[in-house]
Amino acid sequence: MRHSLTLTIGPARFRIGSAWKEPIARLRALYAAYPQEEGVADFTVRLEPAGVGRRWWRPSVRIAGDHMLPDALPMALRHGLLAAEMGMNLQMALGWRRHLLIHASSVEKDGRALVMTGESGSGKSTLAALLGERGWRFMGDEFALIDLADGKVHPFPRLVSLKNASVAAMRVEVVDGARFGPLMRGTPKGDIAHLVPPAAATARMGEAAAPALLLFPRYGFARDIRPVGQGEAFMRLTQASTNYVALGEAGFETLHRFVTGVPALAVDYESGEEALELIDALWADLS
Amino acid sequence: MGEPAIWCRCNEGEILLRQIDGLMLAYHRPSGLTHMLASPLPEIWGALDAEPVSAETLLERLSAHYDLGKNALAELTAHLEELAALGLIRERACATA
Repeated sequence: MRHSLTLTIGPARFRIGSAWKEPIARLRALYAAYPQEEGVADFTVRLEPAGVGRRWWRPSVRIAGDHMLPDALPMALRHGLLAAEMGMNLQMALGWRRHLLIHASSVEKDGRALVMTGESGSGKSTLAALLGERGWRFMGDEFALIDLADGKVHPFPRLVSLKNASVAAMRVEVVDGARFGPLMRGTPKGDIAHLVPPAAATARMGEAAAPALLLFPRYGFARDIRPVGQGEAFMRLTQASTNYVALGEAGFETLHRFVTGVPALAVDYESGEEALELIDALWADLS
Repeated sequence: MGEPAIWCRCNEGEILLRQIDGLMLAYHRPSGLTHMLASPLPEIWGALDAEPVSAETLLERLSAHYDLGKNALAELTAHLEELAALGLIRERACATA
């Protein structure tokens, strides 16, 4: 393609091609701290014109690559950065086989990982981003990669995808404006801005951590903490995994080890500060 | 009248079992499906072995450990059929395997 970039995030290397210059330039700048040397990529993502002439006339981006959703709707070029991020997520979700992949955020402290999973809007991304600014190592806001051999969580610290009210919340937390990507209004997921993770997240993105606590956060409900049984955790994590079925027996063993070795709690909260306070208290109880 | 069904778990190599919180997780290798079994299915599974037995014999085994009600045989047969449908046990055909 006319413009391209090779990018390593955690254990995965992507080659991203684009018919337009801008999305690649944005990616190159926002991922400046990540390895960008050429090499054999695990996945290819292509941002293509959605039809004849659509490179110029009402430019519209179709996300293509090794793994594709044939019915996915094209996106406006002004949302090209989001399209590239979605393309990378799609490759991981549909093609990654080296780890059990859980749709979850994760952070690390003292060599142990906190994993948070939940529906869109649960706050797992924002909480991981907040914790990443408050003494925890940010490991990822989208996928937790569980090692099939030893059960450790491997980082996948791509840009944090902040949605709607989270954008303003993180602007208060992060004073360095250069860490924010452009605010993209009216995307299919609402208003979105990307945040570059703290330097420690990239510098240590090869370091896995043993999982110590699994949370199912839920934003917008009165403060509450409930234990989650192993059976429920197993069932919910199979639903939150994009490759559990594809991994077969290895996925079964890995998930069994995870739910029997990691305590799980459902946490309801009404504000980010309240959640951080709860998490600090729960983490202190663990040790 | 057909012969009464007999049951066994003579396909154990096809199944991987793990315990969680009093539930039994069963990974069925041929299908790649995971099943979560709640009581009484783990108990029924535990009372079976590789030797085929009738539901009546199995009921006697279970009755030694559990207080079973009046409709126990019908309920047990339904559960056996359920386990067989999942591929976790086998019916008669395994007797000659």
